[in-house]
Amino acid sequence: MKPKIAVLMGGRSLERSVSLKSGRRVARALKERDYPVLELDVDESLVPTLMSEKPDLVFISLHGKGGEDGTVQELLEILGIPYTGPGPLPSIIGFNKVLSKELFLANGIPTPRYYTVSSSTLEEMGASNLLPVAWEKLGSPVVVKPAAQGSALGVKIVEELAGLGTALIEALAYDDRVVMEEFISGTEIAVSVIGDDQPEALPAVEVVPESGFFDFDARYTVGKTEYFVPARLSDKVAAEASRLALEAHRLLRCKDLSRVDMIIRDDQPYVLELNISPGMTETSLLPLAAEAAGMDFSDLVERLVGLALS
Amino acid sequence: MSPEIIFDPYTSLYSEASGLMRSSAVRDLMSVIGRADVISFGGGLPFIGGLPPEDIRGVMSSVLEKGLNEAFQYGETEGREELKSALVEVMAEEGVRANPEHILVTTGSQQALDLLGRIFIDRGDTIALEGPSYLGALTAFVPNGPDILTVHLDQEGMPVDVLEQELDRRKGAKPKFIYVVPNFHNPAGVTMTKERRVRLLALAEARDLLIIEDNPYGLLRFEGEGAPPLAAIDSKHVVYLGTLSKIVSPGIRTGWVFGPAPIIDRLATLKQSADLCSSSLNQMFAEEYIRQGLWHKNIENLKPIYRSRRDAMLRALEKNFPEGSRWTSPQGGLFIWVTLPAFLDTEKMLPLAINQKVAYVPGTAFYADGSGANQMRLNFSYADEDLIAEGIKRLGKVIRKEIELYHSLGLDKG
Repeated sequence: MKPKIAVLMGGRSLERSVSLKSGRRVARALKERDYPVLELDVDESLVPTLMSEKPDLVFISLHGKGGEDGTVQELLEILGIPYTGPGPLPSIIGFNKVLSKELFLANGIPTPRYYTVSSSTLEEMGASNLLPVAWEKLGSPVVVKPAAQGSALGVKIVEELAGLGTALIEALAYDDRVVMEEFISGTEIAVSVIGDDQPEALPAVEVVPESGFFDFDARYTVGKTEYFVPARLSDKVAAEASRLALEAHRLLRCKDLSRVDMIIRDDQPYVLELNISPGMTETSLLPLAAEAAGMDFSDLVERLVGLALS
Repeated sequence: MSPEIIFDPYTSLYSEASGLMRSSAVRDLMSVIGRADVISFGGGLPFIGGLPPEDIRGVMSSVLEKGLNEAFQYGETEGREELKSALVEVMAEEGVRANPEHILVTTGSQQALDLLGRIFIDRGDTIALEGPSYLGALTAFVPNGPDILTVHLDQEGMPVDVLEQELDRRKGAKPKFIYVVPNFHNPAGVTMTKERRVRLLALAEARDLLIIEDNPYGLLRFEGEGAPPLAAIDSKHVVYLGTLSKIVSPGIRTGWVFGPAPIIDRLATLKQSADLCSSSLNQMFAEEYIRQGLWHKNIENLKPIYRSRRDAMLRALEKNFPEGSRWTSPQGGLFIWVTLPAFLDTEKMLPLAINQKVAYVPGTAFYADGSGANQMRLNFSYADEDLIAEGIKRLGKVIRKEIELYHSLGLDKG
């Protein structure tokens, strides 16, 4: 009998709809390979259901808060049920751009320079007076993003200081803390890392948004984004990107899986962030990269199951 | 940059018109509001909990007695005669005198909007809409590429003198039609006065204009005195849209158009290519439901429920919303329209609200001219009184927190 697998999806995260797409696709692939599958849209019945159903494995197809930030991983640790992807610590760090960037910087992984503000420093310490200083130090334009949020929701490229305030307000609707980052113009790529003791980097996927900026609309609006896999990089740059992805993966103590997003300027990759629960939809980056490495979607899903059970 | 990217390898194949379709981040955020723990004022869902199952069962078995062949076969494109006769009766309730030949049954009145947009609008044609306007009308009309003249509503509906001035200003560009929701406007909640209705019809007569009157909520007046539909005053220049969605059920997807014969004919030709005919089964359900008089019963059931929910929402707004906010007090329908202090942006604030487990629709969704940033639509028909009180309390907190943030950034002026 194959192990019984609960696929966790949906939930109340702002990335719910993408998560449902990922989860249903994963569940379908597992059923095709004859695994007994339990599809769970995460709500307050989650823990009781897991306790009574006792699955052998949980496949995490959650994106955003609750599923990608370590919360669900912590629950599964208590329940003692194995699950796909990294554990609580890398999840907590990966989902928080401030923590992960600090770690990258401390360990020599290039990442764009940044400052951070929170709603409380703005409201209680008059931090708004610092905005022109930060602006001056970072140089324009500045990228404003919520410290913890996926799908580029709430992300804005700000060209003028006058627009910084409203961009902060927009980002603060997603998270109490906001990152203001130096804008690096270059080639956007994502490198997925998969494996246990000897993780390997899959071929890089290059993303080319028509608007020049990869915001939510570029992601979701018909005809606004092109991609290349493998990315159009020289062997040397591709190797350096893979090396940095593996280093970020190890540094955050990731297990089995991660996707590292980077931007390349003058042949130098800069790590923007690390995702522990990458999208698994028909057009997501990880499945595209796996395909380029000769793994079809069901192979990829089964590989992740195998890694989690080993 | 992070998780989700939807690539589309078919990009080069799509029509230009499909590229004009409106899509936004808001739609994706809204998928969260289906969750049980989010109090949603976002949708326009009518209350259907009051439909007695035994009534429905009775109607269903009558339908089946009539014969499977009728219910499960194709029907006429214009709609079933029996249903059209029943719809004449429904319209008569509000004083509209119609006859079945001038009616086209549609798959919800949304289909009527789609068909109307396609038979009337060429790219660059002017159409006149209310500001705000029904979202479904915008999404139906916009892919045809119209030049939209927005006439902003006040408490008495569309100000006809403003429309007239705008038309004068744009001399050559006579609008193909003027689209209005005179009763309990979605989203604005206002009702057009009798005087304005008469003036609008006079303007249409004088300048030979066509009015599309969309009246989904007219029968849902729970207090005060109404004005007759435009089509009841003078149907010559009016294409009238009706629907059973709010007085029976949106699930049966049954709406209709009543209008001049040539327009009905043109719409029917287009409907043939859209779906050949609306569902025979649903039409038979509808005609039987009306024939048995159950629609009256349902409307009378709904009115006190909606009044009580509206009252609960008005009370909660009064108690929880900050100074400088104002809202409409509709005497019927499903929606309250809120205007917040001018510097606030309800679209930017939406994720904050959803994280606090309450949802609304941001105002900009209802305008073609980019206004409405500080406005929001609240639906009061779906959640019960307790949930309304709790949801508005949460929303009030969200707004106050947002105001504090604007204040700390010095952005709470303008």
